[in-house]
Amino acid sequence: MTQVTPVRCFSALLLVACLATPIVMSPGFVSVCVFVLIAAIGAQGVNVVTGYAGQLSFGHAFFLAIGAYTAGVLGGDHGLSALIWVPAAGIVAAVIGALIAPTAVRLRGLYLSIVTIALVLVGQYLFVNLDGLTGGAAGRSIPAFRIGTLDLSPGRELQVGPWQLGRDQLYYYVTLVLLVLVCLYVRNLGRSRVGRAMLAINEGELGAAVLGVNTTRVKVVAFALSAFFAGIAGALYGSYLSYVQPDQWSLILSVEYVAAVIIGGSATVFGPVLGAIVVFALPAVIEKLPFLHDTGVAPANVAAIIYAVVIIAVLLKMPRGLIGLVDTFTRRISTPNKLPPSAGDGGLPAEPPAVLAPRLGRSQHP
Amino acid sequence: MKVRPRTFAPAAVLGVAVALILGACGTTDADTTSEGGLKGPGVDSSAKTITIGEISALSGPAESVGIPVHDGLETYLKWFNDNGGVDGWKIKLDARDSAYNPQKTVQLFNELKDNVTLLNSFGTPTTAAIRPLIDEQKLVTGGAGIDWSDDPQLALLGTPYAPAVADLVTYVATEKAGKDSKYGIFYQNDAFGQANLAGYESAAKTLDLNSVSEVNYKPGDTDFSAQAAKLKASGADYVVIGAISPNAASLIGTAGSLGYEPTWLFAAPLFDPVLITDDGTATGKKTAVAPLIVGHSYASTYTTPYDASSPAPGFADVEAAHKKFRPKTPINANFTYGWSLGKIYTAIVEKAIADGDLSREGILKAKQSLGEVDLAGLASNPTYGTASAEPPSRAVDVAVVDDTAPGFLRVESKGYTSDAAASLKPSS
Repeated sequence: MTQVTPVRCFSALLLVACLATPIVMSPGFVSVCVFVLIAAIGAQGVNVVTGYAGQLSFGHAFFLAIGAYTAGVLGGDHGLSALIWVPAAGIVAAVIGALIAPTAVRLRGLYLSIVTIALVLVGQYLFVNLDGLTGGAAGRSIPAFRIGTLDLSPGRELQVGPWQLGRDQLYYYVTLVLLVLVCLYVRNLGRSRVGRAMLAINEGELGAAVLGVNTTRVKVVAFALSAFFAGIAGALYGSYLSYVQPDQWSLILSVEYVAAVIIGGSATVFGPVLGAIVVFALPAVIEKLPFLHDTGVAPANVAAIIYAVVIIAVLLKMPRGLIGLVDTFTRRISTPNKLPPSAGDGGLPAEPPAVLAPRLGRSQHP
Repeated sequence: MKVRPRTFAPAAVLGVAVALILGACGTTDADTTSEGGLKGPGVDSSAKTITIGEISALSGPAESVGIPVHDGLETYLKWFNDNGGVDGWKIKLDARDSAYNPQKTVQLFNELKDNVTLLNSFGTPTTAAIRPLIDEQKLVTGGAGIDWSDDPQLALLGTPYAPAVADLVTYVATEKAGKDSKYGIFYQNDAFGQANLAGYESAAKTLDLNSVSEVNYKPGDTDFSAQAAKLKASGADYVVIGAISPNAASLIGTAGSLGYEPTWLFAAPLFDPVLITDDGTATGKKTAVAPLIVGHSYASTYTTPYDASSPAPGFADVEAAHKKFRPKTPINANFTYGWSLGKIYTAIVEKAIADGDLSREGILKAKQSLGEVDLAGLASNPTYGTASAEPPSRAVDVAVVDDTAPGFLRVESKGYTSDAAASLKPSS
């Protein structure tokens, strides 16, 4: 019989909250949540290549764009179902990622970062000039998510029992389901041979090679997987936004994704999700604070400053990212009287992680 | 090395199951019909208030235009309410800041959509992102910088970017420039800049002009030395500015420092008086780029320039409201534009109240049966009907930039229009 523990109770409450959010919260809040869920899917891509494989990549915006434009061409120009264009967006991005990876994996650290930055800049130039596919600088429309008679176009709704779900709510549930699938995959990846090989490369490429890891191949897989998730996120992002233009796929967007993974906690399953909440929802939440509207400065500008201070504080005080805080919290509620005073302070791990053990947030502490 | 099947098998199985379940679900058309009579989204019958939503660039790269347009709209609505509103109804403005970001615009639209009667939206790419949502909500939307389209919900004001550029270039090419003159354009590389480019290319094609350079920049860029150098190298004598004023000032200043001083062409509504003085008024301090613009630049306009010493008819109310509600904000073309938008919105609301229907359908019907809206000479009067493909106007007033003239514009030709402007079509 399954034992009822505080952690399980808390997880159940969290699940209920996630499911109830679109029904009880305002459409504006649900809209922010949809963007966060999509960003969390994309952040898992950065998590794989940067968090697990240790390859710092700023090229994510490029792959997000590939996904969005693939959705536009397949779903919009050819009228195909989302059942085709969602995975296709990931596959096209992954193939392009795999083609670029052999060049990128020859480089490390700052050099790799520069190459991936160049990818974003080259991408923006291409997106502006490939008018037929991208609509050029003026942008193009991206179709709504449609599978059979399930149509998430504006103006459509679904009756589920007493609840009438509109477009935003439906997008919320679709992206939530996809995020769960992606998290499941990343969780299993961390336990798989290739996932452990990625972690080995992260700890030391030479050491990994000595252990028999084909480092080039594993890094190519990491790039392709990262691009796959980015492609799916880009397709969903474009579909929900309904319109994209090249200017949106900027270096800043890539930096936001990398920041989400670092802030949330890299090489963990739930860290990127937490990071996506902070990076993509916090500015909107801060902006709503009533006292910001009396400062005489645009609330968005004040919110940006507060947001920056919060991020710096998180990075300084929680080196493991927010997931460290969650670890501490879950351990406190599961063993409230047994926790050593120093454990979890500053987000530091209570015990040294095994070198090749997958760092899966709380799953490390069953 | 292979990923073990168990790595992806659970996710794949779950994914297929979810896809099958989703496919079995069927959505239906939402019932967007709202209650008839004096009820509808954004209508508070007990307090007798009607809320207009606004999503504008109050921060970010386009704030220099977004803020004064918002100020003008807000001032007009305060003045309107102060004068009794309409049949005892007051108009509220619920303003939000998009920071010129399409994603944020979608979020804000979702926050506002159920609680507003009309929407004022700012910006070309931002409004493009919410157009399907506007259509779904049947929400009548106006604003500055909205790209011209045949969408029945849009309540446009003035001449759209593309015909305004085409008119100005045609006027200069046929009335001012020599046969051997060279032309160029500097534009923001997004939907807004593309609309300017379309007008420029239409004029260049129609008149077979010698177009030597088309240079662009990304929104948010601040250094335009490469663009200035490229324009200078091309030898363009006339350069169209498809950019908002801070970027235009930066380009013109950089070009001046390179010794390149072509004739600058500002199509409506992109000539901003703050290019000439720091506050856009005749008494303000001259800017560094003013000498590079004044006397040998042209602008097209559809709003009447404001002259504090001798205001044109129609400015009496603007001045009174300005003095009472916002005395520190200068009256300029963007402020006047925002004020004029307010007049359009209240005219639509008045018509809907007279028709006894403040529902979404009632507001749209009121807009489509409104006919000509009298802007008291502040801007060209727009006419709204059921035929939405035609913009409010394809004509502009063409002026030379003159620091002694009202609003720094000395009008040379009123109601000018061109074949190049006539041939343009709205975006889909």
